[in-house]
Amino acid sequence: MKKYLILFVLFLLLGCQKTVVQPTFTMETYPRIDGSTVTIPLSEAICAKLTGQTIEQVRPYILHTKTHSAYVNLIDKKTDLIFVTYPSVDELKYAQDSGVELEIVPIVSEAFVFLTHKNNPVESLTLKQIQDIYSGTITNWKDVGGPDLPIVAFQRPINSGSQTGFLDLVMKGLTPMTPPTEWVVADMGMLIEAVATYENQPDALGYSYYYFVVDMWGNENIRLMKVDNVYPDNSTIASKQYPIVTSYYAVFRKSEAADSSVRKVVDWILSDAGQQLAEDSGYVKVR
Amino acid sequence: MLKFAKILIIALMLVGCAEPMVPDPDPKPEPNKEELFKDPQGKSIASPVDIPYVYVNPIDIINLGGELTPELEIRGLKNKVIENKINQEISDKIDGLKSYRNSENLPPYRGIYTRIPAENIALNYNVYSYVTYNFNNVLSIVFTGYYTFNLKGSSEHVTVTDSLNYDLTTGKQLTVSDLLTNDANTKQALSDPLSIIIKKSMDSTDVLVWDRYPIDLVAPFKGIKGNQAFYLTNSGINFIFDYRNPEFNSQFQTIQLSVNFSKLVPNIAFTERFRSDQNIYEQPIRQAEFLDLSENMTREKDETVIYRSIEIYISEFISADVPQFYLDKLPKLLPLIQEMIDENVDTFDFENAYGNINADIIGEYLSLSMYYSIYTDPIIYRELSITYDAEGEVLTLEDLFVEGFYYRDVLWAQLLDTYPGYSSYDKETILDSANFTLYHSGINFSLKIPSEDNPSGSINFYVPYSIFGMENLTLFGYE
Repeated sequence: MKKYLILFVLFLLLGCQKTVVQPTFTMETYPRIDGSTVTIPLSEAICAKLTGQTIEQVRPYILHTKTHSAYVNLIDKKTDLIFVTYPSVDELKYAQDSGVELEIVPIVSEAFVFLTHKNNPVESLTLKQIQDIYSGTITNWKDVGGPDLPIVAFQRPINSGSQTGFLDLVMKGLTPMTPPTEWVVADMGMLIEAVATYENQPDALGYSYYYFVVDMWGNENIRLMKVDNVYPDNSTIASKQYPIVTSYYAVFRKSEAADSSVRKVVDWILSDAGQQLAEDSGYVKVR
Repeated sequence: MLKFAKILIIALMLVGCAEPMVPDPDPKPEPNKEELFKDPQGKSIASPVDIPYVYVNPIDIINLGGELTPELEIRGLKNKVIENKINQEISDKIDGLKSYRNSENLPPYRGIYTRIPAENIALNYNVYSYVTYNFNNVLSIVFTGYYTFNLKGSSEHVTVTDSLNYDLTTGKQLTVSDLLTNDANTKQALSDPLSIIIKKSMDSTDVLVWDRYPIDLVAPFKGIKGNQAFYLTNSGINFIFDYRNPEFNSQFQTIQLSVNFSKLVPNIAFTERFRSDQNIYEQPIRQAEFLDLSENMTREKDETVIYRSIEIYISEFISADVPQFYLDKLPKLLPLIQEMIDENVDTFDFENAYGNINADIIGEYLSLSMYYSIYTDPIIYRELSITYDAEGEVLTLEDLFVEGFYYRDVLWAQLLDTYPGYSSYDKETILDSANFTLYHSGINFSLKIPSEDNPSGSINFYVPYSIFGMENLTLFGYE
């Protein structure tokens, strides 16, 4: 009996500590924010919520200078909180050389998705099949249960964000084949277009981040490919059932005090209310 | 008791420690009423709409500003209440743009207050206004302001673009809902081509992005809004994306994307929607032009060929709307150039030759032209122009004008006005050599004018349709 009473008390003391009271700020007390382009709507929504203003009112005060610049600004103490993708090796080294320890907290989920024409009868690929397609081992849809057609596997330029994600999250050290020049598509949107219209045949395969694909106007000819038989949607991405997931992160200096504005903002983003706001802003909850 | 404790703890785990109630997130905001698509104004127009040509509104466009910073006012509407209303709104718009020189008044561009704090006055600013479309009782004006703020030694540049589009019969401003036929899905018809441009242009230079900034989306483009800013030109609809479209990361600039009319035919309705049987102007309507409705240069081709050590550069600018049937009627360009080289290679010293083919649809007419030359001194060249009517018949110069109109007198007067030195030449001989090419707002004439230095010399000069008067041109339905 005593054992259960101790458990009960411990539970009361510890188990219910997830209480997060929504902090309130003015624009003057709100932390200095920076980040990547893709997290701007999230950043604006959070600021509006926590300062009690509309998104339109806070928008002129929110400036994201893109990922690398945001990391540099954070490390140089020119900003206090950034919403970004995971730091690169160079950015981690710069932090280390500057004597700044970074705290990296995932706040919303993101997925890497594969796009094909809506008439492509192949609905699912395994991660291994995708790797084989992009390394040139599998070249025909018939080898993955489709028609006898060559797979037109689009890639994006080497230095693009999507290509970095593709190499890290999908290829995982494997070397992708060198695609014909016309299959290297210069931008995320153009890739979508190319897959949608390529000779009006269901033989194309492309990729992108989920956030930009899911609500984009004019993608009615596009279908997202299941990976390992899991269709990418908000639910399967948040639960990580969909296998190719990553996150956008809140990153700040570890030296931030326990009761700092920065930590209050991050804690609130991770609360149910914060996660709901993220989802309402077009992102996928992190939990 | 033990059982009770177990149940209590399990119950607490299931219920009691669910995250405490926090304020509910804001319910999804109601759609902004201004962003909803309104009912079209003016007459109900059903597709397909045929637009053979459009009438120029006979209004005077007065520049109240300097030559470099035009500020417009219109005059010539019979209804002075409407005219004054429009002029007041134009004036207000210009005043609004001028007020942005004070940073407190700047539009709420994303992040602008982090770079340009309040109480800054622009070091330099310029405000421009231009009429971009003035046909069939519709007037479109674009306004642009450029501002430079000097902040502790660094400078920040801001550009603001805005527009006014009017139905001149009522003085009411147009919205995107007025642009297409009543049976069209306006949002889809306008958003689809924009979406393609956006997707293609994010890193590409091969699109019409006038501010030269790449399109940077912070969120998916979900289509235009009912109050989307736009202005018209004679070839398309230019959409303005700025702080009013927050999915675009336009910095402190505007992004302008043009949807060509060719993408919207046969649903273009604004040309017919506001036409009136009544003349709403103080002056009669005396000018007409053609809108550019054809697909642009989709068969553009460049080719370089070496022949007898001469480098031949050939280019083709052919609208996708031009049927191959007509192109096949043109002689093959390369053999013509080779023949010209053969004729001259032993006489002249030259290294390059050039040829091009242009083909476009002008109203109901099809205009083909061919030009080829060798780079001698002086340049030796030949050209050929053919214009077909809707029935596929070749038009002669006489066919362009109504019977009894002395077009040759007008043409000669125009030539001498441009080139007074040709007054000593024989008028009839020169005019008999005239070759012509139709354009949207005028005719290009090629005339042979030989000289001692250049026996095969010729000149090109352009005459707007307005010089002839639309009532003298069969192109606009007169006989």
